[in-house]
Amino acid sequence: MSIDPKIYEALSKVLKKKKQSETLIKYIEKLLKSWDGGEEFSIKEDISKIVEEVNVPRD
Amino acid sequence: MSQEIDIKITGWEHKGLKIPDWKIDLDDSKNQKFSLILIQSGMGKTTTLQLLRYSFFDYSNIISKEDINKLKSPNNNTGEGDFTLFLKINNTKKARIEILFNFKKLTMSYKTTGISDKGTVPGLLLPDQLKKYIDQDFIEKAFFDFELAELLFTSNEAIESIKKLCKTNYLELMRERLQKYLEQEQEEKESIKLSNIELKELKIKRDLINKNKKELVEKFNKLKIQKYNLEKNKKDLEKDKKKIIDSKKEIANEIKKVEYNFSKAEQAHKLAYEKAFDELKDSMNLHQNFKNTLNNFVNNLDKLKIPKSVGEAFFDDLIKEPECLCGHKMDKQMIEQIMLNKKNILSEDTWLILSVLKTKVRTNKSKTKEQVSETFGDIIKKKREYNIADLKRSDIIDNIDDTRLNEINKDILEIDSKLEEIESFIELYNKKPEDEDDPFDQSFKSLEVQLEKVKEKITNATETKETSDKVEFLNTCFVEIEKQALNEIVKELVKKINLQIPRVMPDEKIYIEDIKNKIVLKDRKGASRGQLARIGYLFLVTLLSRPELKFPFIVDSPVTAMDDTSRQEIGVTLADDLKSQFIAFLLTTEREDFADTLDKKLNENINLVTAFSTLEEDSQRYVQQAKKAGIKKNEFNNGVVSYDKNFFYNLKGTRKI
Repeated sequence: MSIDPKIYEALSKVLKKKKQSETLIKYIEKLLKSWDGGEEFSIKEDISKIVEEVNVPRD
Repeated sequence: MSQEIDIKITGWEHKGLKIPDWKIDLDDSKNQKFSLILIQSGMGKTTTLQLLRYSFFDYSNIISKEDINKLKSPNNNTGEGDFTLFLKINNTKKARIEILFNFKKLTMSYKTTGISDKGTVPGLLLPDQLKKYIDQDFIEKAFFDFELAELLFTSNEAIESIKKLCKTNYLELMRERLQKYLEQEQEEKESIKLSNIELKELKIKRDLINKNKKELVEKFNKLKIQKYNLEKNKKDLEKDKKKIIDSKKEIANEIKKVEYNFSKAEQAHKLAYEKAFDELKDSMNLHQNFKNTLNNFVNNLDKLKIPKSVGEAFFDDLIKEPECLCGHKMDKQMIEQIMLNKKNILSEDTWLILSVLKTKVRTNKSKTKEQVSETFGDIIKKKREYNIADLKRSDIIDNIDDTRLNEINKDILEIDSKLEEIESFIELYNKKPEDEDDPFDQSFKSLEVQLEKVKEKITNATETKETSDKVEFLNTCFVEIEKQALNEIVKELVKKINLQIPRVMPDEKIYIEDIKNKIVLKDRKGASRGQLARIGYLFLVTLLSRPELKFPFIVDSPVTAMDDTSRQEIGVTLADDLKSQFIAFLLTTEREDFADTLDKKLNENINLVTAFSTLEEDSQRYVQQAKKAGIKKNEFNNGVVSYDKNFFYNLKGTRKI
C-alpha cells in the first residue's frame, strides 16, 4: 500500500522545525520510499546514516 | 508515470474444502461491476471471503495450522484441496491464482498463471502495479465483514485502519528499527562498569520485557475485539431472551383466555345435551302422528266415568234417596240398574294417572319440527365449539418450550464468564505501575517503566549515551511526525466524507466531527445501525480509494442491520460511487430493498447468483425449490449454483446456525 504524501509533508515540517538538515530528511524519505516499495531496511547501513546525521539540540 | 490498474474477479472454483465443490462464474460480458451472491448461513459465505483474501496476499507463512485444518471438508479423503480464483486485469488479460492445501501436512502453497510470461509459475505472483498497494491490512479491509462496521464507532478500529492503510505505522516501525540499531551497538561494546554476566542479565531482561510487552499489547488488542463481539452477542441473546419471555407472558394470557373459552364451550355443550334430553322426554315432540294419537287417547278418556271413590259414594247415597236426580221415583229396577252401572266407574289410581296425562296432553305446547331440529343441531354446534376450544388449549400448552430459553441462558452464562476474564485482564493491563520488578507483569505501564530503567542501566554500562540520546531524539521526532501526519490525513478524510453526506444521507444528514480513536459524529451522541453502516461504507470506500487502483470491494452481510431506507440508500450510493467491482455475499433477508435497488439502479446489469449446499440436513427444501424452478441440480456433487434472476429473488427459507 502506498505511503500517504502527508507523512512526507509532516516529516519535513517537523524536522525543519527541530533544525535538522535537509540531508537527514532525504535519508529518512529514501528509507520510507524503499520500504514502501517492499525493500527491507539495512539497520547497519541505512539507520546508521540517519543516526549519524541527526543533530540533538543541546537544550 | 504511474499506470492505472483494474482488477476484476471473474469467478472461482474449489475442491475438497469445507464448502461445496462448486464453480461460481461472474459474468462480465456486459462489463457488469456488481455481483450479489445469495448463500445461506453456514453454507460457506465467510469461508469464501477468507479464501478470496488468501488469493491476494501470500498467507502461506503466516496462516496457522489450525486455520488450514478448519478449511478441510469432513468428507475429504485425499488430504488435498484447492481454490482457484479467475481474474481479468485491465479488462483484457486473464489470470489465475491457485491455492493448494495439503491437509496432511497442514500447509498451503500457490501457483499463478497469466501474470508471468513463463505461463504457470509456483507462488503468488501479482501484477507489479498492484504490489505496492496490496498488503495484509489492505486485503483485510477490502474484503470486509460488514457486521463489524460498528467497531469503527466503538473501538480504535477507525484510527488503526487509517494508520495501516496510509502507512503512518511505518513511523512506528522506524522507531523499532532505531531501537534495534542502539541495541546492536550496545551488543558490540563491553562494559567497564558491569561484569559481562551482569550486562548479559540486563540484556536478557530487556529482551524479555520487550517480548512480553509486545505479546501483552497483541493480546489486549485481540481481547478488545473479542470483548466487543461477546458484548454484541450477549446483547443479541438478551434480545432473543426478552422476546421469549414476552411471548411467555403472552402465552400465559392466552392460556387464561383459552381455558375460559374452553370451560364456556364445555358448559354450553352440556346445556345443549340437557335441553335435547328435556325435549326427548316430551314424546309429543317426536312425531305429529304420535301427538295425534295422544290427543285421541285423551278424548276417549273423557268418555270414561267419574272416579270410583266419588262415584260409589254418590251412587250408594243415590239409591237411598226416594227419587233420582232426574225426578223419577227410586224403585227396585232403578236401584238394580244403578248398581250395575256403578261397575263402569274407574279405579282411583287409574283415574289419577289419566287425569294428569289428560292435563299434560291438553296443555302441551309442543315444539315445531324446526325447533326440535335446531335443538339437536345445537348439540353438534356446541360439540364442535368445544373441540375447537380444546384444540386451541392444547396448541398453546404444547408451545411452551423452554429448550431455546435454556440454551440462551447457558450461552449468556458462558459469555459472562469470558467477559469477566477479559475485564480482569484489561484491569490488570491498565493498572498503575507499582514498585515491582517483574518482567512478566500484566500491567503495560509497569513493563514500560521497567524497560526504561533497564535500558538506562545498559546505556550507562555500555557508554552509548550519545547514540541513545540521538535515538531518543529521533523517536520524539517520529512521534510528532506521526501525530501531525495523522491529523492532516484525518482532516482531509473527514472533509471528503462530509462532502458526500448530503447526497448519501439526504433526509437526515449526519456529519463526522473527527476521527480520534473512533469515528466521532458531529452534534450527536449516536445514530441508528443503518446510519452508522452508511457512514462506515463511506469511510472505507474513501480510505480504500486510490486514483490509480480499481480493486474489488468484497463484503459479507452488506446490509444485515439496516432498515429499508438505509438499504436503498446504500444501494444507490454503491451504484453511483463505486468505481471498482463490488461483490457481496447476501442472506435471503438482505435481498429486499438492497438487491432490487441495485438491480434497478444498474438497469439489471448485475450478476445475481444463488448457491447452496446439498449436504446440509435442511438442504432438501432448497433442492425442491430449485427443482420447481427448473434449476440444474446435478452439475456439482454437493451443491447447486444458479444464475436465474427469479430463483435469486424467490428462494425461500432462512437458516439459523
